[in-house]
Amino acid sequence: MTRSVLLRWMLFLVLTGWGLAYIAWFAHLVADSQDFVVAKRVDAVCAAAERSSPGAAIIEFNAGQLDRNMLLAGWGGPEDWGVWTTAHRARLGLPTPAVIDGDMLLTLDLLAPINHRIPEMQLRLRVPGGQPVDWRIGMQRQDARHYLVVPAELLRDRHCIELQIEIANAYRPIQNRLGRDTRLLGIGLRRAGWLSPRQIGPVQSAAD
Amino acid sequence: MSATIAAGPARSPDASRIPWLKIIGVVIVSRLLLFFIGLFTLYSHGIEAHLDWATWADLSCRWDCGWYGGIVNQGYGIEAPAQSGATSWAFYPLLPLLMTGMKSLFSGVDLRLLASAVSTVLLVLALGMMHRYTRLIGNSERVAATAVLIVAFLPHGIVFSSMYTESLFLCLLVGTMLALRLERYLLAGLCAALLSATRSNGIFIIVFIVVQLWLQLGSAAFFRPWRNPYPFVALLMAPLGTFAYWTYAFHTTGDAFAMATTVRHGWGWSWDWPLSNLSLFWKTGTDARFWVLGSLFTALCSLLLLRYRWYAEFAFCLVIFFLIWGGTVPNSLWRYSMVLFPAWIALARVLETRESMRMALFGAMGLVGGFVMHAWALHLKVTI
Repeated sequence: MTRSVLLRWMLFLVLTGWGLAYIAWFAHLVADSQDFVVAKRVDAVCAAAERSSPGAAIIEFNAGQLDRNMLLAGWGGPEDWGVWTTAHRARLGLPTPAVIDGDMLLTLDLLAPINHRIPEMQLRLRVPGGQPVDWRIGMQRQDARHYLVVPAELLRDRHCIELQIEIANAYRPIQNRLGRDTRLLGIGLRRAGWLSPRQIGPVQSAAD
Repeated sequence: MSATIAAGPARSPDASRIPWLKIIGVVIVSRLLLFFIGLFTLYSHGIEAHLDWATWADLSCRWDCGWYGGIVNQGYGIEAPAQSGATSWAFYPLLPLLMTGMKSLFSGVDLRLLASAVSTVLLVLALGMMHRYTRLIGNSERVAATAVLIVAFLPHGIVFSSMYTESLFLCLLVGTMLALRLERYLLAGLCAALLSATRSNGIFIIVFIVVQLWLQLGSAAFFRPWRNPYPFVALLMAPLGTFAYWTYAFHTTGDAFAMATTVRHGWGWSWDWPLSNLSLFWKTGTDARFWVLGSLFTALCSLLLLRYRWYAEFAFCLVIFFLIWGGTVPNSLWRYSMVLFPAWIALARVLETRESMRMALFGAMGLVGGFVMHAWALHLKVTI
């Protein structure tokens, strides 16, 4: 084997190793990276919840009153009435209730952008660590209060939780000839709050 | 004169000569025109302006210029108070690094003015190399000169003299392509690595490198890299800039992909199919239509690359269009596409023997360019 051939092989091996190092480093970065904007917002929501001693009562999501850090991901800008999700997946950061006496009810005052073309919105809600819950919001409860049971073990010893919302059939009104809005609308949120189940009696249904 | 040129590609034997003085002249004239349009715009709207450097510094700095200035002055981690989730992590580091270095050399100079000077010098360099590149791939002097004129007078060309990445990106893009064509693989790799540290889409230069190496080496050598691995150095070096930025972001924020994260949260960027997006943008409003038309025009010009069998350049343009049209935010589509210089070379080639079309193009560019500079001076959204 001549010297030049040996050098070529060595260079080839170095380049191969270099390429493999890229792949390994990329895999490490993907595996260990976390959304820094969401992480920062979660920290802010938890810190705010820790500071406010009575705990959360009713949280308004309109432009005037909202702590925008709660809109972790997938939300548009707050408006006078509340805020829209603007992605198929949205994440919401919420302070936990002041008193946790068993499983709690998370109340969500939602506005569904339904019409003759989109007769219902299909939602899947989940608190990390809990089971996902599917909701179908139709015309009758288009602008109404909905209840989500959150197990006590997901709330204890924490100042805040995350609510994940998937909206399978979010749509852009402009593409459906339903207006000029170019955003991907899924569900509107007016306000949220916590109730103990005994405060409202048996919950018949989470949604329609 | 046009009859001689029309007779055929009369190539000069000295195709590597770059007419630097002419290029500098063209750049100066184009910048002066932009400045005067900006100045008249300010005057006509009752905004105080003077024929001095301070006015030029102010005129040259709009939109992203402020972000880059913030990074140079305060480092990464700056947030926009009125734009939740928008942070300076959206901007790749090479331009801020370069400007930080320049700032330390010329500490008393207004950063905006310094950036404008640096960008303009980089534009001159880019145009010089583009001239050389145009000749290298078999075009006449007239085509090379026309390509230089097109880029120098492109509408929105003010960004080539602002604290924007356009000049740096263009310079490194031409540098990479030229070095690769000249088989100077280490230099090509270095330029490509810097390119991938300039903008997020710089990494896609690997598409050009792969296709060009394949065409240059032939299938036998390309698929047996162990026989001659040296050309592949360029390919391996290209992602270095991107990886360096990812690693820095990872160690600083815990999110290697902080750029993608912040453009998603702060600018509402998400992915969708290009055709769906283009249709959406068209319905969105006048600004978006302007951006779409600009990028479509560049895309049409890039199709001409196929006609001249410049496949590697075409592959690069194709990937960039797929990327920029794949975002659901229409902002800056024209600005992103104007650095795709192979498309302008192809356009110049088409116009080589079509004098009236050439004049029509420059006339149209002058009109649109005047409008865009007017809008830029007034901070209108169409110039984002």
